[in-house]
Amino acid sequence: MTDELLPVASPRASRAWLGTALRARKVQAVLTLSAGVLAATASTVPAYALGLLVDRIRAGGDTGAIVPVAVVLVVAAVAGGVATAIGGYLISRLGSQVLADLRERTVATALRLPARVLDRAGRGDLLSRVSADISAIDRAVSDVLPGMISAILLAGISLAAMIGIDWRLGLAGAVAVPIYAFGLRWYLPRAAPSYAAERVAIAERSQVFVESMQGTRTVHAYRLEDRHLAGIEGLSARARDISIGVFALYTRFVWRINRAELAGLGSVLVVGFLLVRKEVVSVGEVSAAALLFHRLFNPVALLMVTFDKVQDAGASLARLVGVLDMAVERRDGSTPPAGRELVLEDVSFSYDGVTPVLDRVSLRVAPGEVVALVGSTGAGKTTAASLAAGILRPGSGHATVGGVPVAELPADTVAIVSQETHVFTGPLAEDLRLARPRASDDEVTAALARVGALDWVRELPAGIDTVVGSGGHQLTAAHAQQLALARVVLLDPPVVVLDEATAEAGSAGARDLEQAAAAALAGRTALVVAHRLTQAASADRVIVMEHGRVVESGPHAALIAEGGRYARFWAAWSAPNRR
Amino acid sequence: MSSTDADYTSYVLDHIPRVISALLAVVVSAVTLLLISAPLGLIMLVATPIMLVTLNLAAPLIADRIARQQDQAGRTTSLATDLVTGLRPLRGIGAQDAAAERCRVVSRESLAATLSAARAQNAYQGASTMLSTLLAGGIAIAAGWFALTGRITAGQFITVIGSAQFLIEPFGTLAIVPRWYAAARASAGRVASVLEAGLVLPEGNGAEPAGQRYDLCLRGVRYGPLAGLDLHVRPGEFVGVVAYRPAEAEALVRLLTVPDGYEGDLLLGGEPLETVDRTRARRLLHVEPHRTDLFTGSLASNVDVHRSGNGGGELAGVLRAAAADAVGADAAIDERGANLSGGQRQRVALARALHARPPLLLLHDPTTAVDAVTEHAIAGGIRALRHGPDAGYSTVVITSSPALLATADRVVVISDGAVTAEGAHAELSARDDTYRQAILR
Repeated sequence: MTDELLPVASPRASRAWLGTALRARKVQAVLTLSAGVLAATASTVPAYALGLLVDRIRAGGDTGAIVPVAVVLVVAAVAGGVATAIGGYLISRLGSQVLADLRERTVATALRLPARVLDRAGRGDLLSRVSADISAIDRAVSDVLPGMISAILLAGISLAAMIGIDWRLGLAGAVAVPIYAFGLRWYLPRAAPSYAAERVAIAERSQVFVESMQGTRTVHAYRLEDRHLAGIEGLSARARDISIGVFALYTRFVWRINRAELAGLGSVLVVGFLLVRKEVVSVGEVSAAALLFHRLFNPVALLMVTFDKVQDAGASLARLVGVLDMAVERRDGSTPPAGRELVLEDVSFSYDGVTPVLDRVSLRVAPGEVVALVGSTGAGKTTAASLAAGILRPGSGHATVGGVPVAELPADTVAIVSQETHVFTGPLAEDLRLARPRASDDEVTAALARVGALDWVRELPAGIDTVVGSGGHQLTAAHAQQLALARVVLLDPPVVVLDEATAEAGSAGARDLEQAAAAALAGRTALVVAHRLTQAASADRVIVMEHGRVVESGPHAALIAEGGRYARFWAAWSAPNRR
Repeated sequence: MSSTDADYTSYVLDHIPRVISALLAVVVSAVTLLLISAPLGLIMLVATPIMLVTLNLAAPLIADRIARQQDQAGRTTSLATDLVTGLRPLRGIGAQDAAAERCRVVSRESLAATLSAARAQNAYQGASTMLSTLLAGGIAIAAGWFALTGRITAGQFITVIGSAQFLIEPFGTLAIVPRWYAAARASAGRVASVLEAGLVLPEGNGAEPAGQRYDLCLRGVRYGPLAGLDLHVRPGEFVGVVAYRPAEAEALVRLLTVPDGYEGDLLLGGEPLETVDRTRARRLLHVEPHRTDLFTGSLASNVDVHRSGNGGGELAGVLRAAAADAVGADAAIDERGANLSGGQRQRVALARALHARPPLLLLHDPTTAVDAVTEHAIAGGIRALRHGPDAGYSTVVITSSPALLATADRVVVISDGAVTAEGAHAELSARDDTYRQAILR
């Protein structure tokens, strides 16, 4: 199912996106760059001034010579400090604003991707994009980017200053550049797979660990403690060995960085020595060049060791920009339906374009009528429900409410509650307000009361303000399903589709849920996919599907009397009762 | 405990070489400087740590803001994850716009926290740049004065200003060490608290239950909502248990899993359950939790957990009995069984419990995600596998499924913490209205 991944943007597309984002903030970007250049310049000035002082000392100048140097040093320190603070802040600000936009747009796009695209690509990929990829960029922007940009500026300006002193000194310092570059070229192709292997090993370790912890009752019940501990230990050892290997790689890379530093500084000193001997430059100027070069060690080393993080961030950016460019599905049609009748007319549908799942299905749910869909697994009930709710689009035929195609209806016309429940993390009331953001506390409470959930909600530690969902108060499957129904009540759509809404509830809650569903459906046009035949028995009408077609339709009693397929279902289902 | 605590604790090892190399660098430079000029060396060796310690005073403020920033970033990420996970339900009620708006609000809060942290961090960075430039500059000026007045040579002057620039880094490393140590220490504390925590399960003291065929006997048991529960499961019996309140069923399951803190008698083969050797007790009495936990691997490795490997026939038999044969014995199982439907997971877990062949088996709502026809087949499968002519196993099923209850030898009804009715399913459903309603159909 996950063979078709979501798209990844080309490097050019990512760059274009970044360019557009920066151009939208042109003034800010220019200011940021200026502050960075100012900070870098200010930090090269002291070395230059000290070089002059060396020459004065060698010339045996008087002590007054120190005053202008001192003034320059103090001014450079103050200006450099201020420019560093402002420049750094501006870089962070620019980066995190661009990131915030990217984050919001990616999530907004992800939420509007068509259901079929997501089913084919799997949700895992999308989830890792909105979490891991955004975090990778976030970390790069806040931890790596400011240091990296200031290091690049500093290196550029220092080399320029050295060339300004004497081009040969600049060239001597530049000897380090290819060595750094080779180091990076040696490191990056090795680093990426090593770090990836480390991440995989750590992820496997935590997967087995978390799985064993969450399944601890089963582990105990089957006396599997030793087996699981051995598994965790084995994977831990593997992760440890890989980590040690990665660290060894890293130290070898640092050794290459040190080599570049040695070569660069060495050649500056040797060339400086020769130039001084030829009396082309002064000792002070060579000292200044050496100091300038030495100042670069830390920033450049930082640049080198964080380079792969920026690469990662680049890869993450490509994956996010890939999502941004996907076609989204908007359901904010503004054609109000002329009535509340739900109609599927000659609808055919196929997931793969070959095997039809629905074959010219026509069904009609009158305003306010509750119709149950019955059939064995694979009969196409869920597909029919999804088409009725506009989650899927028919291959041919029409799905309409009040004569308007479902896809063109306002979003609050048809609601579907599927078997897949989810409790959104946060206060319970906020979960419900997803259906209607401006609902008052009273309205939320009323919706809960309608589906019979208010009793247990009141018993929660903080009532409707209790934090539920992952990391919060855990709700049972039945309670989660009741919340889903309460959301529908709050949304108050004229048409509702229920798909196996009570199947997973657990025996204890199934009866409450059936009552809750009945309450939520009251007064609405409803299509109910029924697995428990009590739901079918209490519906106004039952439609039986088989192999993608409608085979029977009529009230419960009439179908029983007919003695057809539905009657056989009913007999098989109620048999244990009558023994 | 956060799973990264062990990592943070181990970082101490990572810090040791850094501290050693920083110390070495400081000592070598210090000796050089002191040899060149004692006063200059002293100024540098005193002033540099003072400056770094002063700058470090701002560290808690920055750490605080960064923590808040990371917290907010984490909130944003988990919100995005949460919303995308719940995409289907969201789409079902057309709430994508509301969700995107919620994400935007949290994202802006996160941005504000990031900017607040960036302000503090960069102000610190600016101050640190300014102070270290001033310090190195001050020392250079003092050294320049010494050189101009002939107390040190030009070469020595260059050495001094080079060292002044160099020393800031190792001193900086040394200044952060206390903070690293504190973080590692805090993590180590949390790790230790886990290591020192008591064990959950009673060990037992080696009591040996009598006989070859074991019975389970509860007499006047009080435990949580259970108020004087009597239940006797004889060898070979298939008992259905209906609990009107789920909490009572859960209490019974919990008690049999961890026999601790109850009143009354809870006997396995005549011995108090908590005194039976833990491993043996769990072999004799197997409690299958309602929430199914499957593990990464294959279907076969999930069912035949002890890899007895005794023939495909036995595996196929339990899979058939649990109506899980459609899944296929070679099917791969993802993390926590995520690639199976709820009903499939339930049936695989049931097959696993049946495969273990415990003399006493307790199942808790094993078929809630299974349709009625399959439930019927499962009930027959359990009966055939565990209660055949010479099997002699005992099975207790807590359930409200009529299919399972009808197959049981007798049904015990628990209400208000005690047994209120007992009898065959058909008999109970004929005479007891409450019972009929409770089992739904």
